[in-house]
Amino acid sequence: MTGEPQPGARSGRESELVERAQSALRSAPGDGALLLVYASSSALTRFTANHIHQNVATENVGVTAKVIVGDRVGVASTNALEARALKQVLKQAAEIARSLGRPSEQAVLAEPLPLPRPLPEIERERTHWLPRARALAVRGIVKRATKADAQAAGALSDACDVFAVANTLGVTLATTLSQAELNLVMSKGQGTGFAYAVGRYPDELPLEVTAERALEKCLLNQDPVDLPAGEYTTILEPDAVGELVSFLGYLGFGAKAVQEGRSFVCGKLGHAITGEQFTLWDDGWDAGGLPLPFDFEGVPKKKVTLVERGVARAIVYDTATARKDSVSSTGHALGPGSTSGPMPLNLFVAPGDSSAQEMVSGTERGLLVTRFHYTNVVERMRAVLTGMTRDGTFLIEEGRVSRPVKNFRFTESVLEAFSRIDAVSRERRLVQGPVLAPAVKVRGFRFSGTTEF
Amino acid sequence: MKELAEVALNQLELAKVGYGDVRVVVARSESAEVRNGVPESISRHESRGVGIRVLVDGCWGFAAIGSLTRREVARAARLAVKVARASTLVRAGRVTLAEVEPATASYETPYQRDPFAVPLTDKLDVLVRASDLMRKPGVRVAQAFFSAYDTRKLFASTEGARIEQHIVETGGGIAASAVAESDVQVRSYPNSFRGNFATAGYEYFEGLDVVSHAERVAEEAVALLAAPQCPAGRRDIILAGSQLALQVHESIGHPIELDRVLGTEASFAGTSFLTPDKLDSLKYGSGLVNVVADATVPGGLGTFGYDDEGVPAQRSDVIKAGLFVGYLMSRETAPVLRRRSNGAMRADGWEHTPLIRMTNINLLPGDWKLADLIADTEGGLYLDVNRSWSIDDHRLNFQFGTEAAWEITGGRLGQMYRNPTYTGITPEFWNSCDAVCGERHWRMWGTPNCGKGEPGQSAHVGHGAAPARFRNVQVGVIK
Repeated sequence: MTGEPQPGARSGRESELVERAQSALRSAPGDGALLLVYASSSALTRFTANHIHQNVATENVGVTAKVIVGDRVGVASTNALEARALKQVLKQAAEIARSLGRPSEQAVLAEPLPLPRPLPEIERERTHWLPRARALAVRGIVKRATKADAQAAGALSDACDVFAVANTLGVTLATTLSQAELNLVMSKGQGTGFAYAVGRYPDELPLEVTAERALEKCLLNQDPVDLPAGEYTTILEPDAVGELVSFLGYLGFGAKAVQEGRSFVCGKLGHAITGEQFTLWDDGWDAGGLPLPFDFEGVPKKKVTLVERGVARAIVYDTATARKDSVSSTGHALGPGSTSGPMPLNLFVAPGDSSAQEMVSGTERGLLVTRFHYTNVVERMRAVLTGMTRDGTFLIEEGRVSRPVKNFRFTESVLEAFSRIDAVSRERRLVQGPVLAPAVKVRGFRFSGTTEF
Repeated sequence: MKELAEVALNQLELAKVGYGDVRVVVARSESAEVRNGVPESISRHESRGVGIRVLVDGCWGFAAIGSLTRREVARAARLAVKVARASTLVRAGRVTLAEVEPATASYETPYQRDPFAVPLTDKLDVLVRASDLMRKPGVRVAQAFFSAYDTRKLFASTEGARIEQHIVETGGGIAASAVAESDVQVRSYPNSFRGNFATAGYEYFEGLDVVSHAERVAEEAVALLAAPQCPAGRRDIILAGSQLALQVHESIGHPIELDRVLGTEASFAGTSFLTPDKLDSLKYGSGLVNVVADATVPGGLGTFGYDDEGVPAQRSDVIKAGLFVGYLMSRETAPVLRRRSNGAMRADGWEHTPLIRMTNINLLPGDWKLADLIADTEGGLYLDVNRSWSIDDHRLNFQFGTEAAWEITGGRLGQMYRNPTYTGITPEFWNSCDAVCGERHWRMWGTPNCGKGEPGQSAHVGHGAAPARFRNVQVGVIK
């Protein structure tokens, strides 16, 4: 092993995982090897109709080995951390590699690189609530629902993952990731309202604010009216924006998709792909998101500006795709064995200078969308997606939210929609993805169908 | 396995739980993807652990541990009890479980060749040959896939059930992606998203004979680049079996999950339009629509001996001559309808608690020959192999895309189209079904990636389907 470039102190668990990996790698078979070692714990309390119906806690450990023999690669994994388990997966991965008849582009390991700054530290004692504390938090949400004669459904969860990456070139990195989430739908009669919160620790989730937001939506969303499909000026709230942006990241900005000609970014770097109001970047270090400071090859993440004022600027790389383009990895590799190629996983949309209220008051007639449901890709190269609105879709008339409307199906090119952005909000919210997303106002957003509720 | 289950059950007895069950699971899988003739990802995975579910004072708790040591399993059992106690703080009533005879039994998937015993070189030889044959001008990515799963599990309950099962699943397929400057078109065989899967051994993968389909798949992918866009409008459509399988999955399989109907997915996967008042009264489809939930059909990806509550695998009616007659149920939900569970509770591995999952939701065959059905169609479209899917959170408004469509004019297949989509409302769509093909066209389709639940679970489910015709369906997106 070469020296460790990692600044900052490791927790006891992180050190233990690193030592296990390093020890196993000392006698690794083949011409190079990588070990990804983790220990995870998570808990989730699920509730519906104002009672808990599912309550779970899970603990696991695991190791994934990638072994290179010549220019062949094998991958094996198991959920054990004993020395013999690590030895066994290394042996299995080597056997797979030896049995292959042709070379693989994946037969590369990352070189150790210095971290640009100390890794974020996690307060382990804050990562989990005891089951009783989680249930009491749910009880608070249910009480709020009951007071409004509504019903609460959702999930309150916390999770902590300690993981280490080490390879035979000297990469040895370890970190701890912590995440807590509240996913909430309030309902009254047929009307529903959604709100979501995510943070590093359960005790920092704004439970009351989130419950109020969902409840407010739900109470507004009573007796929705039919409105025909068509093109509407539409204000997309952050949860809806986050979903579209996540698909953009998945479809377009990974180097493998670009190298294979399957990305809308192909031939477009340096050219406008959306309107000027849209800027998007990936940053695994920004504490405004959920930091993931290095990738699953052990490469520190670089901040990558993907779209700058509508112009496609860059894509993200792992070691294999970077080698192909003669550039450096940006630190966006997925785990060994994944064939998806590198992905941007920590997305940020630039804020604008409007507010959600200003967007509404400046809209003569339009729609307000809380979130989308079951979104999927229709045409990859134009980033055409389809999905349904859900849990709060409203008509805006004469600058105010006038009434709820039944849900729509949208079928729309996200790139084209983001070329018609009229306003972007200053406020942003961290939504599922994770994406730090503002609300955006889009002219002529295309709704292709309706449903019965 | 048995010893560990007893360790957990002893802990549950000490805690005097109302009910408890323990699943000890040892699972392994093998996955191979050859991309453009090169083994891109060849991997083997193992996972073992114990999931413990308990009722304390009528409320659920679940804990799972990725370990097979007595000490850790005992700790997980105590944690499950603690979690259940916490659930009592926000309760609606007491969970009541439908009765089931506690079984002492074993089950094993019938198979001929253990897919894990077949040398990797044999599998790769097939995949590389298929991938190489697809590498024609215009094809940018030629993929060939193989996957196998081997799961051994023991179910033991405080009621006395002791059930051992060994489930073997195998599958694979091919896909060619043809790329032009601003378009990507994909053709797959036998199905998209890594192929088709069955509870079977290596003989199933051999039977797919992916190599013999490789050149056609590649040629069709390239041809799609030059094909015109599928025109929009209301058309009669014939859905090929693989696409119809996903149509069944999304617009029948999910809506009939009784836990979803009762709201357990309300904040996530959604609810269902199939409220209990529609049982035995809703005309779900035309009289030709007959659907069963059948966990016993040979080879189905949702075929097993017992579900993860120890209920025996069974076949039950879902839609009978168009009438909605049955849900997928668990021991907890069945009493709501004064019924007994029909064995639909399954968990994704040891680490998750069981949920109501599809078994094999099969559209029973009719009596048409496909050639006759096409000949009987004056004007319409034949749509083949799924490309995209989406449905609202009550399971009413759906939209599917397929890899390709062919014009039917005067009873004959003609022009190929790219980017076909169709959309509709579930009961209207199934009521527009006026022909279903017969036994010789009927086969099982396996979906190995059915998502549901929080934390997210992935289930292996099956669908039997033969091509069928639907009248006056909206195709394409109205401009």
